[in-house]
Amino acid sequence: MNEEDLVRLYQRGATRREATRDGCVPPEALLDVVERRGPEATRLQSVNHAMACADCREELELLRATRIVRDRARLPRFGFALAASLVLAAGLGFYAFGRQRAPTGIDAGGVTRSGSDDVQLVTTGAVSTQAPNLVWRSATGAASYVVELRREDGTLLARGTTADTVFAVPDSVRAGPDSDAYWAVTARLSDGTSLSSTARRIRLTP
Amino acid sequence: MDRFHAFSRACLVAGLGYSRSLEGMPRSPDAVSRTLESLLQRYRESVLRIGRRHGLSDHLLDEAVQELRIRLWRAFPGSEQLAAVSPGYLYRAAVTASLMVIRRRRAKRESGVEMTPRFEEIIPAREPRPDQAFDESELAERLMRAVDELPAARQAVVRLHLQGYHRDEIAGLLGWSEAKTRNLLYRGLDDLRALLAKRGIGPGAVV
Repeated sequence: MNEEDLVRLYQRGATRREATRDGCVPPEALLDVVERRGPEATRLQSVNHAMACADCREELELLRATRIVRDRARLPRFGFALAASLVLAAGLGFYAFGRQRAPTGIDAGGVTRSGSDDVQLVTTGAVSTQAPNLVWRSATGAASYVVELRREDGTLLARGTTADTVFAVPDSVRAGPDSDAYWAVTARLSDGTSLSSTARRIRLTP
Repeated sequence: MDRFHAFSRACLVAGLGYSRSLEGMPRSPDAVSRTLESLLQRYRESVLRIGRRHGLSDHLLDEAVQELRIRLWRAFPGSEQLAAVSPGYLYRAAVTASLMVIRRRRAKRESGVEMTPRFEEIIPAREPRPDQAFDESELAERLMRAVDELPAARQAVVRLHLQGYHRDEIAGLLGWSEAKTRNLLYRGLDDLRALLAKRGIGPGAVV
């Protein structure tokens, strides 16, 4: 007997029981189910009856649908609040990143205080001709990495995509006088999601 | 809160969503009537869209809508009062109207008043052979008895599932997580199959 048979037979059996309403649960008990009031055991008992009695099931459905209509009417406002929260969180993230790039927001160790840190950066200190590489640890499931290097004012200095865990800072970026910059890595995972590192300060030297 | 926004919120509760057409506040009995009918119509459509899939008939819903219409007319004879109806009030009014209709329907049944048969009862979905119909009736009865033996929580999930409720709907109704619901459903169906197998009802029992 497959599931389709079970469904058909069950619905046939439940329909046959509707000839009488002996033992039907009171309407208030059906409302308790919908509004999740009272002991769970009592509510389960009501559900179990209603799902075996076509009339009670229809009555439960009337109350359930009414409740859902009310709940869904609240969704747009909740959805708006959720969207607003996401925008706010994204804004705060950019703000935090900007602060990390600002001179006043620099932490002594060069490791920022925000970010998920799901990708761990290895390179610290200075990047020069002798040591031009930015190195990070591999992230599980990463298909590629996006590396960004920015000045303190947020100007993008270099951006590259690689499948490796090393990125060579172009000579053109290091051509100027010594300056601080920040770099971060985003791992693009094979399932379509991504992981990000915190932004880390480095010194660019010719 | 101004009255327009109070009324808009009430409409939201009725499944109406925000409507620009409501910016023209009801100022006359006709305006109240039109607004009320529009509200009730959308409420009806919203409820029916959800409930029809699970056996809610137009007949029962129409009775509930009519009861709600009467209640709102009695409670809010003027447009100003209707405009100020709160969302909570409207939901409670709809629930009260539904309970009233359910009680009335049960009372009719108990007093022996013949109920109008539902469409699906008049026209059976299919015509099985007499011997097949008997076999299936017997199997259905044995299945119902087997379901009765399941523990209450698993029984509820299995019954809801077999009545066509989706896991999300079951979780929402019972106030459980999706994981808990899924777990109980799988275990419940396993238990049910084991019980049926014990009674000699296994694969191939239904042709």
